[in-house]
Amino acid sequence: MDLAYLDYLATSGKSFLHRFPAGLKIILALTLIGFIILIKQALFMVIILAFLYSLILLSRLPFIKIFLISLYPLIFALIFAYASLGRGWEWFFIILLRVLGTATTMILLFSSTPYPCIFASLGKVFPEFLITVFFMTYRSIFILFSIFENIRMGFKLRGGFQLKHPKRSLSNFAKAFGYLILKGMDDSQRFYEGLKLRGFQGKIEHNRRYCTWNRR
Amino acid sequence: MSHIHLPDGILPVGLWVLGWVLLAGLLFIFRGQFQKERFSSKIPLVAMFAAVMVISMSLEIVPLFYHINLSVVSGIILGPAWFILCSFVVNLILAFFGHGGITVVGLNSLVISAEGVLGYFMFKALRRILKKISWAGFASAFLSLLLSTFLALGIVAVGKTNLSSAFGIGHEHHPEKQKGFLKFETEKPEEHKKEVSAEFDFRKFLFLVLGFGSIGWILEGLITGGVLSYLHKVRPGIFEG
Repeated sequence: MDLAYLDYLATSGKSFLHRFPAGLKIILALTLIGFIILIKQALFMVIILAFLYSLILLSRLPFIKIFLISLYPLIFALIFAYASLGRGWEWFFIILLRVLGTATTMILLFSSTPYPCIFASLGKVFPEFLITVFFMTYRSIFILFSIFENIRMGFKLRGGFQLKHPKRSLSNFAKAFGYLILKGMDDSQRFYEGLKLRGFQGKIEHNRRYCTWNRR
Repeated sequence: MSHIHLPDGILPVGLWVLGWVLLAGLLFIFRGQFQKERFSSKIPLVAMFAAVMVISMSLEIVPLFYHINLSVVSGIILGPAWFILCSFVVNLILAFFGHGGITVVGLNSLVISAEGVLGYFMFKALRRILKKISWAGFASAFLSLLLSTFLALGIVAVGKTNLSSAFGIGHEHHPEKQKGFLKFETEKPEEHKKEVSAEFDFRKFLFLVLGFGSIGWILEGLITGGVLSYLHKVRPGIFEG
């Protein structure tokens, strides 16, 4: 899953971008997204993309992998771009470049900033209770994903998804997700009991020092 | 892809700002319930369902290039208020890795919230009529996805009237708005109107979204029906909690 890979990149990297304070990085990323949305010329957008790509290379992040991940939202953008073809090819490419630019900015931010730092910085804008939900969700993703890997193995052993047998495949698929949900519900209860035992007051504390220049 | 993940830079600024405002308004309305249950086991449950949705949205059904949401299943189990919060968390996390735009998190959350909330009420109503959980699940997922797609299409339809100014390409001639001594009129207003409507072919867009979407609604409906039926068999009473 991309999320696990980006998380690995964010926590294992040691470049200047990784050491840059998270709050400032978020502000810069949002400013850049603002520019991408407001800029009207394709050439300027290409320049911004070139800047983002050079940041990826300078931060020693895997360029091709990040580029491939950033292509994903283009699937949806292509529908918009295709419907706008009446306006000409320039418009078509501007739509794609805008989507590619904003996606690359977000992926670069996420692959160079550990998630506790992002959520800790968001805590200055969003209510603390919401940040707690973000933390728990993020943690749950990795817990559930490891469970899902086992379920996926079982699903494959039962034939996986076969177009020849759609009914059986969909039934197996639904059971796999049903099982994942039940495991998730049980784990969330266990998680809550653990938190209560440790004195959970609806808020998870985080170390802001970890997210500054001298974290390493 | 049973719903649209609106990307960044496509809709006018005013529209996605409105999306954020509406979402904040909804969360504000339910803040009492969130405050009351903030120390309960509901928060880890919401987080777990958000995680299930993120995982399901990041996995494609390989030969078909579709992904499922499980938004209706989550909506049914969490209930409307907590599901709105859940959909916001899901969309924000998805936006972090480029799956849906960051500026349109508000709008995307509203669309997915509509799926879950409609699914919740439809499932409650259809369960009494259809008796069989799998059919009630299928119908509620199919209908709520259909309606939420129309909501997304409505958002694009509102935005498309502004798309030319949102992109800033081309030209805007409003001779009646021009101030000063000179008034330049280079084309007739009817011609301009015709040109603007050709900028974004909404019918083409509608055809593509409904064409691809309909396969997604059926798939999601079948899987939702299957998941709900499984949950009911393994843990009876799960929908009453």
